[in-house]
Amino acid sequence: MAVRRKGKRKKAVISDPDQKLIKRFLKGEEGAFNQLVLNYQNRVYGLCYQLLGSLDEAEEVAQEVFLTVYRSLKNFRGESRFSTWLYRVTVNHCKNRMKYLGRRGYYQSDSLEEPVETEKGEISRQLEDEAQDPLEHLEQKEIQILVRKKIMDLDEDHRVVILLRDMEGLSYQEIARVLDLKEGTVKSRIHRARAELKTLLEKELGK
Amino acid sequence: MKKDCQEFQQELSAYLDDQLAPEVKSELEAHLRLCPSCQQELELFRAAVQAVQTLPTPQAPEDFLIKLRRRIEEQAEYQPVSFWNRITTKLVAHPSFLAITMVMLFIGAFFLGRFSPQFNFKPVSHELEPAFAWKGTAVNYGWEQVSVPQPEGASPVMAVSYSALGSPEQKARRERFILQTPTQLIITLINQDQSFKEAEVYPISQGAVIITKEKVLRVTISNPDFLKALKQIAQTGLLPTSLSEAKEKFSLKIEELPNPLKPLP
Repeated sequence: MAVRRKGKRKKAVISDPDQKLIKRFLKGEEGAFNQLVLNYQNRVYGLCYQLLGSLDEAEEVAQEVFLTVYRSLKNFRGESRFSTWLYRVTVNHCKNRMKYLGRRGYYQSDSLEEPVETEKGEISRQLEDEAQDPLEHLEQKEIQILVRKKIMDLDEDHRVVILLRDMEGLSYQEIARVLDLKEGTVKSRIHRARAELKTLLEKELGK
Repeated sequence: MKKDCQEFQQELSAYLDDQLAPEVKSELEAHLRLCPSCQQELELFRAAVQAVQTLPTPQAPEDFLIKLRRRIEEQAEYQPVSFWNRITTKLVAHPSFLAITMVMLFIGAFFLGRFSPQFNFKPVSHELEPAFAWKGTAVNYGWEQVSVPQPEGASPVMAVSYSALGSPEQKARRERFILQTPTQLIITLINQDQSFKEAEVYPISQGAVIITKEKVLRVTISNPDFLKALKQIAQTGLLPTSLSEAKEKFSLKIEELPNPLKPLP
């Protein structure tokens, strides 16, 4: 009689440099969580800013993201990388915020006319550090303002994929995990998002 | 079938990310070498991608972590309150809550009184009224006024009502004892004992409770023993002069109860 053995399937362990910090935090070491925040705060805050178009909103939502992480880290099973999970939490928080702001007509108002300049001015300061020809500098700055504006004009889903791909440099596979989509869907969505942005910029620059 | 330009242009985005299969990639590259419009389209795509890639990204504020830690601590102090807790807390705090509650209670009580079944309470017959404190010489008074139900098994014939009963001094004082119930017998026996002269005696079913400064005693007798005791008393015409003697003769049950006035050891 043939005996069927149930083979124990080994769980795929994803090597994740953040796992050590997470373990230490779950053992009660608050400092490990602080280190995680310091490692990721710029990426989370930056993505929030690019998605929401406002530094104040970005700070608020980024804080919410890390509060969620603090509360839910015990449920994080390590099936994906911590960074992937963090991007998912960030995107979800930003989408909720976009819906909330959209209902209040935030994006129709003039507040985002020139988002980079009108905010706290941190970005313009960064640019000034780069010693360049002032005229070229001005031109580059104007282009950046235009690109930011056009990104904000993109459809919400397109804005998310284009930022995850071209700003955060995530692979198609990672984006698929973050957004819980198939890789093929990600591929076509990225194409459509870039085509849309290209058309918007063409219209603006072709004048 | 040969692909047209539009089909090739669908692949430009994936081409920039190096996501095309080798044969598709080489096919596209061959087409790009021959087609200037597709080449231009590729450059526009590339420019759009670079425009996003080179956008400056702001850094998180310096106090980002400090603010976050403060919020974590605030949240730890104020545990989230559930929906129902919030609702009930608000309700109770509302000024009209008390008034509404009173009105509801009043209405509730009205309907409860109106529609609840009527009970006919029969007066409970006590052996003796509890307020009747048995103390020392009080024995002579009030016995006859108390209506005493017969205990089961005690025939009226066996009831003892002797004025001649007791010690010679008692006889001289012409004391009368009515011993129709176990409670009456026990109280009479307690009153014979001089050591309980200052004690308070309370009637209970089948006996009495004695409260002295030192202890609390429960003295009871079973119905068969009560009948035997009555027989014995009727025969001898004598009452025991102490409770310990009575215990021996009539098999009384004497238990010490915890004294509520004294702290536990």
